[in-house]
Amino acid sequence: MALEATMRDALDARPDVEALACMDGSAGLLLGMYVRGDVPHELVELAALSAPDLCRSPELDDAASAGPGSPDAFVASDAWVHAFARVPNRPELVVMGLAARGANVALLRSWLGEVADRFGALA
Amino acid sequence: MSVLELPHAAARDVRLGTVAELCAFVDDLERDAAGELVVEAGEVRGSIYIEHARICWAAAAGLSRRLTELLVERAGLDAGSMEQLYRACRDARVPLGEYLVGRGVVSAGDLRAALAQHTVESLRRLTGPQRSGHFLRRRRAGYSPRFTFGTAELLARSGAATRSEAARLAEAEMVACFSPEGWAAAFVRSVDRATPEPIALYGEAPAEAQALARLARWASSALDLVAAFSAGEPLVAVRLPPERARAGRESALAFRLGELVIAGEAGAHCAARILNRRARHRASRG
Repeated sequence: MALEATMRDALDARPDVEALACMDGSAGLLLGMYVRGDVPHELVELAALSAPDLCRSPELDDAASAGPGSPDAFVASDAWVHAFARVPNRPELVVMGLAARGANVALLRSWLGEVADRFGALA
Repeated sequence: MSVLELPHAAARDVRLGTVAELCAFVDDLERDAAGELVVEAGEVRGSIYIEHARICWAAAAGLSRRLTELLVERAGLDAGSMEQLYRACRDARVPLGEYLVGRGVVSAGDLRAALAQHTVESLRRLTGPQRSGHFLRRRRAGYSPRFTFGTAELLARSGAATRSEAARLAEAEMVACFSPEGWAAAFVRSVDRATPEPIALYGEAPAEAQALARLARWASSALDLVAAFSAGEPLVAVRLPPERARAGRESALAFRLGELVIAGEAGAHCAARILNRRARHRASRG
């Protein structure tokens, strides 16, 4: 419940953000997802499900191990900017924020980092 | 310098179906290993000398005059002048390239480029379907790393040999997108190869082809994932963990350029530069 309330509060504070989701990579569970406007839910869900794999950097030295978890990532495409941030102290959790292409990417990433910090404080 | 065969050195069979397969063998050798890979397959004969996981030279039957031709091209000499220089360097018992650089006939950069091209042409001649070679361990000859080649560079040059136009396009894009502290590689995906093939490098890339292969797999996988929920030509930017990051290389990036995949490591502002470049392109198209 605390997680849902945190997500709602975070989204309310940023009208330019279209969706917010949190994914548990170790369990493969989508813990929460809030979408507003005309954004297709299935696309937000697909992006959220991909979050743990996208938030991972390449492993160049050792083929045997998976790439290390990255603190954050983003994807900029023709229509959207997807930002991802790993939750401090809960590295299995990754939050995702979605905004239209014209959004300020740096501000979106910074805000999502703060949201991840709030999720970390809940743990 | 002399290359001496080690006593009791055991030969090892090596598959040489492609240049990538040869590079994988070199990458898997111990760092301090040295040896000669001998190929004898009918009319295809030659050898490749390897030291410190770098290819020092490659020679293939039918290409013995090729290095001289490449040096003549770069030095702008006629065949007669080159013959005189060749005789002089033979009398002085100095390798031709070293002699030409010492006399100021070609620059060190020109020599390196000619050696790289000759090595790639030889490797492409020596590798092929059902091809194999015998690896014989040798004493290290102490070749200068300046004039030897990591497998990443040779594999990318080999890829560029058949896709020169795409390689030029990729190089221009990487120069425009990446800062000098970063590095990047451009890849093409072939239906018959599991791993995308490098065709161009930018910056101080890793020496080993297998590092490029890992970067290519990461980039392809990330871009495939993104294609499920995102249209157009997305840019993926991932912050490197603190233990991996260094100044000017804080992020890993991947994006497509037509049929190519471009990926690399760059500074924190590189992604913003790429997005700004794209925005300007969109604006210029109206």
